Amino acid sequence: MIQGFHRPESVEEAVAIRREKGNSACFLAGGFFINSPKNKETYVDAVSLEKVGLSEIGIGKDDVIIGACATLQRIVDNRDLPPVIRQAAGFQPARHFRTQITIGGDIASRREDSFTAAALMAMNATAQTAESGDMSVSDYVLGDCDDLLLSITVPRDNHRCCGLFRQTRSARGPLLLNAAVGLSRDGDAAPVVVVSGAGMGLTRLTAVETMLPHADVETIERTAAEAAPFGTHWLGSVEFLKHLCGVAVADCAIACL
Amino acid sequence: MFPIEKHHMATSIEDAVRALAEDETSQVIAGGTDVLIRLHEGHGDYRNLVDINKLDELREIRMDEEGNVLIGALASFTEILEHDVIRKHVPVIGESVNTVGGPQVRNRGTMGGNICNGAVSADSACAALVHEVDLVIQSPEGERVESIIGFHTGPGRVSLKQGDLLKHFRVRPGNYKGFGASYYKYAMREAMDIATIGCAAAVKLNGEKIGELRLAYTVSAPTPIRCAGAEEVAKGKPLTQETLAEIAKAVEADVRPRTSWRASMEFRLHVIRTLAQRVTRQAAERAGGTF
Amino acid sequence: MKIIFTLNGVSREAEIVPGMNAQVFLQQTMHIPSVRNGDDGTGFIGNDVILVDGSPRSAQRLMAAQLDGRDIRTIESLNRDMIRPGRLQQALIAAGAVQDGYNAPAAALLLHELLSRNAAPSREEITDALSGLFVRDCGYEPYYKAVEIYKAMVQGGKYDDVAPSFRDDLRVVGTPVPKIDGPWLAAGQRAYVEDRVAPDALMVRMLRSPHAHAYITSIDTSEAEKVPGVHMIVTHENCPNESFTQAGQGFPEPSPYDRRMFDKKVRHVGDRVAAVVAETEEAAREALARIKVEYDVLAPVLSIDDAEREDAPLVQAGPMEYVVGAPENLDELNRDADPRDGTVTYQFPIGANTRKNIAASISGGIGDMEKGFAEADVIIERTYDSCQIHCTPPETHVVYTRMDAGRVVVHSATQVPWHVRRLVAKVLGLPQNRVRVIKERVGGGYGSKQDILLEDVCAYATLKTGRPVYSHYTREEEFLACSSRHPMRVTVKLGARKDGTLTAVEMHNKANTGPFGNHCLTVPMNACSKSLPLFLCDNVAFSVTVYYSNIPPTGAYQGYGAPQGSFGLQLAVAELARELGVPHMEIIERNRVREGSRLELMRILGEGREGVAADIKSCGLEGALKRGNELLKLDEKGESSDPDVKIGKGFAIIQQGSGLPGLDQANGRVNLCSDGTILVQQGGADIGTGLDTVMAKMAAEALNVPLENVTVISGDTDMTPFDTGAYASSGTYFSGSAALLAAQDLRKNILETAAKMLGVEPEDLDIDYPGVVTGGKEELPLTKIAHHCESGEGPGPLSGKGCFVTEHHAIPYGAHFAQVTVNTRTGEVKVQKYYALQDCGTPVNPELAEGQILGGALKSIGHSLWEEMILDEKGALVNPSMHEYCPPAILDKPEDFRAEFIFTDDPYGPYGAKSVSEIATNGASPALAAAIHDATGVWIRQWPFTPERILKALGTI
Repeated sequence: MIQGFHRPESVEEAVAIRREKGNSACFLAGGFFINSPKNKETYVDAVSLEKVGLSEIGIGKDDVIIGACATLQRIVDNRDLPPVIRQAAGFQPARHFRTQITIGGDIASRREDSFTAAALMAMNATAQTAESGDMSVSDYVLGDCDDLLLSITVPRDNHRCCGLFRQTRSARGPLLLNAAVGLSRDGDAAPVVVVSGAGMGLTRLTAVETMLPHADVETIERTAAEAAPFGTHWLGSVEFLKHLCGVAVADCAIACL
Repeated sequence: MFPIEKHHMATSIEDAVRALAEDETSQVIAGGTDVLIRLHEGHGDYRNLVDINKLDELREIRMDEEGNVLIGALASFTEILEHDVIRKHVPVIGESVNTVGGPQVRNRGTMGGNICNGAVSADSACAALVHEVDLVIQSPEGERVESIIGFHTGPGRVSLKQGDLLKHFRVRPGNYKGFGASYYKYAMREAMDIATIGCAAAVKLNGEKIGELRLAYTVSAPTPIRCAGAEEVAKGKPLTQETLAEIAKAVEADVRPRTSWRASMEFRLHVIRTLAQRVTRQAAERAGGTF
Repeated sequence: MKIIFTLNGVSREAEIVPGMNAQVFLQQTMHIPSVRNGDDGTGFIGNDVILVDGSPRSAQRLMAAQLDGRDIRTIESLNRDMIRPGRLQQALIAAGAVQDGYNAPAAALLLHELLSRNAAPSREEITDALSGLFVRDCGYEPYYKAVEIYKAMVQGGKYDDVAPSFRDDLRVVGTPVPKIDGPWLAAGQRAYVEDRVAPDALMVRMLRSPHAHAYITSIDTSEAEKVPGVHMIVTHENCPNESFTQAGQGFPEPSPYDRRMFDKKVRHVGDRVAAVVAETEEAAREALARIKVEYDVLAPVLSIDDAEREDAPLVQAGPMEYVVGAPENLDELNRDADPRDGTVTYQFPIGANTRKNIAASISGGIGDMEKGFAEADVIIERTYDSCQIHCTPPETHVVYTRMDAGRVVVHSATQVPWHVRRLVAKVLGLPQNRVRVIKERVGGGYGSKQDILLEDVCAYATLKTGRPVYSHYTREEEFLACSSRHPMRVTVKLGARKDGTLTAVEMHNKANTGPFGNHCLTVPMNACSKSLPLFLCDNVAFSVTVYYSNIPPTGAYQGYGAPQGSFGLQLAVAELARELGVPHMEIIERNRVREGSRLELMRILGEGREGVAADIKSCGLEGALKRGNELLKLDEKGESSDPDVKIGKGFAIIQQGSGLPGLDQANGRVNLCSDGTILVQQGGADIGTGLDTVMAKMAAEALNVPLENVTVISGDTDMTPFDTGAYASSGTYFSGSAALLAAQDLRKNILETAAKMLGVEPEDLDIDYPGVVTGGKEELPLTKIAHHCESGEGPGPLSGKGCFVTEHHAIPYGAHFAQVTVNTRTGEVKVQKYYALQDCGTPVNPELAEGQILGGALKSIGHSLWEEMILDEKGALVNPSMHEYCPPAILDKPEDFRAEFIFTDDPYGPYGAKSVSEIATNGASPALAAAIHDATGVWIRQWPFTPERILKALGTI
């Protein structure tokens, strides 16, 4: 159970406290994941970010900066954000969870059923951290940097397009498949294909990335199905999950070709 | 209803100046957007209008024989961003006005009004600051020139006296030749409030290094500002990521963030640092450099 | 850490450990009862919703430190004077959205926040606001109506369209009137078992088996007993030796007594191994971890196929014994019995043979099956599988027991107070007059609380320690160790002539009853007895064979076998229609039961006893089918603009019963209080169904007094007369009838007394609204009569008694129509339209009944499309959480979701009422399966109809 609760007023202070307390300390944004049944006995010190002030969203002509403590609901409500990011934030079906979950918390927890991670990776978004500088969200999610996230920068749709797919067993049930395919409009397509679900963590399907944007839909579907590394899971047979992955990636690709 | 008491349509610059000098309570109306907003808000001091819309000479955009870029006070944002002279020599001025509102506002708003109203969010102010633009003003005493540097004296206040009429902006060749410049802004639009942070940079290279950096912000401080400290740090530095990081760090001391930012201080400082790196880099690249 | 915050407008401060869970802090330290934990801290149920600085949050997902400096609001902030419900809550009550009430405060807070952002929200916005709230009782639709009612209230107008009214000749019965317990439930007042617990109560936590099938070879509690705060630990070595059935059924039960409080053998993952009784939860859990158990692990039996095999391990391997009716070869059967398993005792034969893992069996028939099939032009035979389904009530099982003047008092969320009393008395070795059972408000029963799962242990602990004892199942325990729906394999063989007339109907049901025999005969039997009588056929046969296994326990879940039977029989008839090339509707019309039918079939469908042929006096199927087809237009094919998506339509007819004629009994006492108001004492258990309101209406109607003048106390074995319990849809028909009889008896007594007071004959007098006896020389208000009765010259206070038993059936009927879309690439099914047409005679509480119909329908949509208890190869549940188990959220609800009544005139029910709250779980699976076939051409004959099954059937994978 958290015994020490700290409320720094700057990024510098937050980082310093966390460094001092070590691995038994966590950053606390909304607290949704820290207070989940399986995490709530893990940490001893919480470094609350409530006073640090990282919850705003800045809109520029070519990109947007989303503060790491911006909640999913704030993102859903902001009409200036790229539609796919709003759609991804809306993948958390319960509104009163969206008002608490932050985008930083969502990607930092690196869950296979993350709401926004795949979309951000597909959009070539970058994460700005307190001490390790900037890195692509893809590198952040697939790596193990545990630095404090400050913001996420996402290109606007004039520069990058993205298709999303998500199927859960029931509306609030476990994730069967989440897929995102992103392509740049600025010449170099820089395709990104991300899938996750049913025991498979966030995975880039490089086999499909290399064939975009020129492949036909059937080939994309087949390659995605073959490439997806599903294991056995009670949510479905490998055969079914792979089929669904193929369908999902193909539908996402169509959305941005 | 706008409580307009007197509306004088000026027939010439002299006529306008005379009308302004005569009546202490008179105000210039040009494109009208800022003034209309303030009238709508009920500011009493905008009741007597001196309308200069017929003074076409104030709309001119051209380069003179000495290579100065001249931008008339009445030139609209659209005219500015589309004009060849601007595009060729001072494109960042065009870029900055391209971010203003929508097409309707851009057609009617003028850079002259934008600057003279002293609005803290004046988009063109940043670009004007890095080009160290001159303001050529006609007054009853004759013509005088004010620099944009120091023109803003406080929130909403500028160095104009009663009877002053801004004729045009002048960008001297020394302030644009050899420079690459860039402008970017982020708008934080939540609920009723719009907060924007804009930043412009102009860079002149000295070989592979930064010869001179000019860096300006709007809305991060009570008036648009130049970042003397960061500009000093940048002098002579190589074109690397480390240099950009140093400039970003130095900016924090130049910028006096507003106390009203309390709840989002870190995010906005973060935006300021991010902008510094982005516009500096792009300005340097436009000047011909490579990182 | 000290926190300072505002709670409902009042400044508060507290010294806390920062990581203390905010829900625990608010409920237990700040004493806000309605901020609850229904789901082990996940926040899935949503009844932990609070407003933090105006924004809705899950309190379970916050730590107390995060409340510092904030404005916190709970339901009390919406109340007037902190205790009476405000307008939004009144609107929820009026709309019939407050049923069990367990989540009503959360719903009100979420809607309040929505309305503060947007005074005229669209349906999508309402759905979005409630997206994180889980309810099982009303199908979510009533919330939209509640918002409309609220808007009308705010504008000063009235909302007239709450629900249709019936019976112009009656004043309150048949008319929407706010549920009488609605106000205090919607205001968040203490009403549930968990709200009653004394601060010095001991906690009980169970050690549960990790193995599906094993003998406990040793159990060492010595280390555990040393944990500070531990009072006692109960295991098979020191518990009472009484065997019993956990089924809450009338004595003698048709369920075997096949368990003790703790057994030497464990028969499912999660079976009871030991109970720790300790001062705190923490001490109890600490002790649990120190109990050392050694098991001799056996191979588990996990399916009917496993159970049937020649060499299958035996789940109940102990000797059988019979109170009456022992088979002749009993000694031979018992020869190889294993005494470690304990004796299985039968009150009377139920066709069991534990040597073959058979828990019960029965068969019967009418007519001549061979002849029937010989006459058929077409014969089809199909097998349908239902899977294990969980009730998922928002409130898990919970009990609070205490000693009071030498008696054991049990506060329980139960459907069966008298069965609880009987069981607890038996297990504790006490006479029944030393045990009192009080049914508190129940946060959802649906049959799961017809079984007696915790009361024995807690009552025993209270008796032994003298202390109050409290135990509340975690959500995981609710999945592991609560009663669920029996998986069944139903094989249907139909013979029909070319024109669709049925010549022979055969239904064979193999059911899996899990480790214990509670409801093992009656539920699978009911699958047949509540589906076969829908069709008129001279040649009908059925057989039921029920197997023991080591899956999680099964029991009574709404529908009580009928959903599984209905799935099989209704879908078989739909398939038959397709085989014959005759429209489905035509086959149904040709063969179905109607008003005036005489059902000989009922003779062979008694529950363990000889049945009685039934005359169907009211049957709304004609109206239901007509109206459903009018709404859905079966003959018009739906087209989707998306080439991957196919649209299909289907329907099914359903029935249930109204209680168990010949078995059930209900009693009521209606009393005239000193001031002329009415106090009803009734044994019936209102489990959120509105039974108290039914009883109040019966009294108000019969006595011609305003409903506000009637108070009901119910479900208390000391204070109210015997009632078998709230199951088998007995509430309105039995308990309501008893209340009516009692009210009529009081009316008779009032008129007799008044007659004496006035010097006239009782026949000359009448009671006029609002409670005045007229017809004599002066009018006598009831106050005056009551006063006279209690005076020195009076005859004593007046009351009326009613006892209701009957041999008559009052069968409710219905037809459910559904339209689905099927995405042929992803396999996903969505329900676009669902119309539930129900005949319940006179709907006593129309708006509540509508909600119950929708709630029942949504439960069955759930078990058709998403819900499934899935076991691994060792018999452990892989999905024992709400999120993984997938009960429907508001986002899963059919887009166009409606319940409508088909009025019929029934002579047997009170004011013509038949049951309504159970039947609606029977229709969705056959209706949806038929619709899926209409869309895609494939028949899915197995629950649930997952995308994978559909794609496999289509040949895509």
